[in-house]
Amino acid sequence: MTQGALAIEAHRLRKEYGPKVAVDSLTLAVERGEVFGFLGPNGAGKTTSVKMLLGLARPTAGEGKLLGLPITDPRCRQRVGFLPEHFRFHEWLHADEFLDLHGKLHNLSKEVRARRVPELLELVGLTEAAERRLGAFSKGMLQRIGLAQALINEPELVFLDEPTSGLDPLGRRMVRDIIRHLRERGTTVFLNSHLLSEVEVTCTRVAFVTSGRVRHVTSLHGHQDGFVEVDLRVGKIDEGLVTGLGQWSKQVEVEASTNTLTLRLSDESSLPEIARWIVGRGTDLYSLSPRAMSLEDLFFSVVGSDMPCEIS
Amino acid sequence: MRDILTFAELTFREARRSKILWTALGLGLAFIALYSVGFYYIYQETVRYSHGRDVTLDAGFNFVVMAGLYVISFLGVMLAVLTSVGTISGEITSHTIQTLATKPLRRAAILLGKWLGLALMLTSYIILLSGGIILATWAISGYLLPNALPGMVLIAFQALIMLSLSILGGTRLSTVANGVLAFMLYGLAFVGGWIEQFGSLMHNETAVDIGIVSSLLVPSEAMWKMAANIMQPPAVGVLGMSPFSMTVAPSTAMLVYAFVYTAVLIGLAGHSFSHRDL
Repeated sequence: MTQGALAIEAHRLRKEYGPKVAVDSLTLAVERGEVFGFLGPNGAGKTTSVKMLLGLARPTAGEGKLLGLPITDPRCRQRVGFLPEHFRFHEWLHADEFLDLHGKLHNLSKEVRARRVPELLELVGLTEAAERRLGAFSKGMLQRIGLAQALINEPELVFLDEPTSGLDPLGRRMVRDIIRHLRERGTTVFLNSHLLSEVEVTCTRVAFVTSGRVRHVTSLHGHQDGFVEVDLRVGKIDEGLVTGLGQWSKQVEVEASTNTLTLRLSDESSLPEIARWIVGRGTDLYSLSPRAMSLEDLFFSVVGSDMPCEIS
Repeated sequence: MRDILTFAELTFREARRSKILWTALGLGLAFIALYSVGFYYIYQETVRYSHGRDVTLDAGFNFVVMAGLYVISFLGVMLAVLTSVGTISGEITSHTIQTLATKPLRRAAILLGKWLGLALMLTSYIILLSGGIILATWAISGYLLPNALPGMVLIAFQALIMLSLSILGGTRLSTVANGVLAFMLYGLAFVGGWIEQFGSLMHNETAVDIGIVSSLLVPSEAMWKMAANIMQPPAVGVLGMSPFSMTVAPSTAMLVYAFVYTAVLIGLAGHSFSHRDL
């Protein structure tokens, strides 16, 4: 593994299935230690993107690296863990054998496996079920053992594709705790999810994806000042004001009846400047009130306008 | 190499867990027992009417063992296809492949491991069954089949050809489509082999050519023919006394071809599996 390299790099990754374009052009950089949320509607190409990064699907074009090694080199997955969306495992294996097998495939020594397997069974609360066949496991238990499998090699980078979809609230909290634990250890987590509330509490940064392109990447550090909507009430709205505000906000909504404008900013830092500019051009400013957008609002503002017709 | 062995061991463990192994072993032993009882009575009847050991008596015993081996050769092919037909495609449709193929290993290792595991099990099984009836015949009558070991190896090799074919098919086809294809190809080789025999008896060159082409497409039946040819006393072949007699036997070149053919199938399977999306 190349030290200091990014955890994930993708440069114009593209995937076509016949005439259908699943991922148009994925460009992405995920730093080490981030908990990175990958958000988008169904059919946005999230799972295909993960599959390309993990070598399950061959990109039609573009390139990528995991932990500094090209995704075409199997060794790039030495310190990578993966819990797939459609997790299914060999039902005839016992839980402990299953973890041992995956440890073996990561080239872990017998001693390391003997230590890791019970550790992980305990972490996901399946110590009691160690010698039970996976065929007798419930969906939630399979997801837990799948998660344990993804962590067997003490990975530096973990891909979790919808990790909480089969879990009850208790199980979800367990996943959240595990992600927090990984974050504290400095493990990079790539979380593919459409459960916005999950992402909001666990991720440090999110990317919004539609039609296989990253539309927007934003930090969720103290998300209140991460991205804001600002309502402005002014004396009079004219053309110059609206176009002028366009330099800070791509979207300027105008409500002429109440002389109100709504801006969407990536952070609060430009607020004083905006206020000075308005006053400076001689427009009366009655109020300037920023309000934090929820991740859900942001999701719809980014994804909603750009969704293809067939996905509603 | 380590990964290949891990997957070979996993394949073996799966056969054991899914009870295929024990069922097959139990039925195999039952097969040998049934054969032995049957042969014992045949032997008792024959020696009563014969005046000591001679060539015709041995030819008769040979016919009975060859009939048994013919059944084993057929079972071997069936088992080869049935155990392998879904081993790749099944893992793809069930998604169990996803956590395996994302490990730091070459995908070809998964495929080679599965091939190796199945090949070892099939070969042992075929040697066990055919060795069992050859030894039973020898123990009862004192008749030892000529070239027993190379013959058994050829019968096992026939199954390995079908195994490789069905593993290759499984990298691209669904389980059912792959099964249909494998059995149809086996049928083609089988029919082609018989057409060749009849053609040779009737001196019809077209029929012989059809047989040769079918052996080139799928050389499995040719391996049985080679086995049958070396395991029968020359007199039987010349007199055309048994349905297993070969009027034309495949040459050594055919054996070399079959080796290359199988190696190419495995290579193609590895390539095809490595290049597909999962």
